[in-house]
Amino acid sequence: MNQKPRIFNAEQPAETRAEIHAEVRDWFPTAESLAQQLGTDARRLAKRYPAPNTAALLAQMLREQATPSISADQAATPALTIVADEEESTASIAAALERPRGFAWPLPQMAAAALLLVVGWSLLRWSADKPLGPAANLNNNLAEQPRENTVLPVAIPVAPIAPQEFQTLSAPEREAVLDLLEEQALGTVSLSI
Amino acid sequence: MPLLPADLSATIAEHFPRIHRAALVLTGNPWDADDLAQETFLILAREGARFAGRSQLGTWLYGILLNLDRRLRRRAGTNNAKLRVLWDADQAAPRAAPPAEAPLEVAEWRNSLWSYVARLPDGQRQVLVLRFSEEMSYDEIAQALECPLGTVKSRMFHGLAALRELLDQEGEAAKNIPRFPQEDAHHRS
Repeated sequence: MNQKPRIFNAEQPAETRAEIHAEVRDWFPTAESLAQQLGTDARRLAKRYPAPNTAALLAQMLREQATPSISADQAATPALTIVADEEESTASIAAALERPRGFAWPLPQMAAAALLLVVGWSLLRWSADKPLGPAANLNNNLAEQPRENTVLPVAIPVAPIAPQEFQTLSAPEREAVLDLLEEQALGTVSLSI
Repeated sequence: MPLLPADLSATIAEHFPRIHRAALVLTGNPWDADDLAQETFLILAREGARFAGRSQLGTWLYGILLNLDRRLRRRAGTNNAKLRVLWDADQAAPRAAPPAEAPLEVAEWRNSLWSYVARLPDGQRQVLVLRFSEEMSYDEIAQALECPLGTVKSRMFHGLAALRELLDQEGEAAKNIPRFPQEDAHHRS
């Protein structure tokens, strides 16, 4: 009974059962008998309730489980390969298995992407509708016209302006009025919007 | 060293009985032991590619089994805590009937030393299982538990000492432990 070697490390000389029990002999008076009784109880339980003979069924089930997993690992990205190269903690593996299998939809990321899409589309629409120059503010209706009418050759009659009114204008407004009068005199009045 | 599906049958034949025995000692009933052992191999099938081969496959499987067992015990503890909350909230509820989550340990296990070991802290309990039930070396236990060798030896000493204290507290039960126990004649093959 004491000659049974362990199966996991054949290269290392296996301790016999007696050696395992004898090692604790000096710890306290009943240590060795406790160790022996633990072994005896474990073997008795295993004989009373042996492992179910479902190896073939289990192998078939595991084969079905393993196939997609292994193929997925073989096609892993380099970052995943690094993880796979290191023997992962069994604790992390057990924790990872609590997650549902198969493809999981990344809902938060998808929601963020949808939000970004909406914001981007809104910005695009806003920039398309935005008036491009201050001259368009002269007539709001023109600012709302389509962008293809960017340059409209129009003749804007400039009404005579009284000197008093001219004095009340700001410097930029005065320059604009003067420009209009000059262009009208040249017959090339155009309005950019 | 990814485990190919073709290797599964041989792997199961080689390791399943031992993993099942450890699961039986840990859980105290064959039903949970079946589940734990099968789940261990399910993880092997799913995550076998992560096994790099730096330790023995059997050692790696024991590590998975112990983590699954710890998770099972944590869930059972949570369920019991929830039941206590329910009972405390409803003083009129009868407590005579055992809850559905009551442990199903078999009599052979309840009458064995492993039922006392189950009351020890996780670290001590796991070391005792791997050493005296599975007869693993200190190196193998350290690899399975992912802890230093000194920690393994310390846990084993304190685990055995705590087991003796438990038996001393129980009084009569301690007297039933033979000085030099023999194999059970009823189950000798």
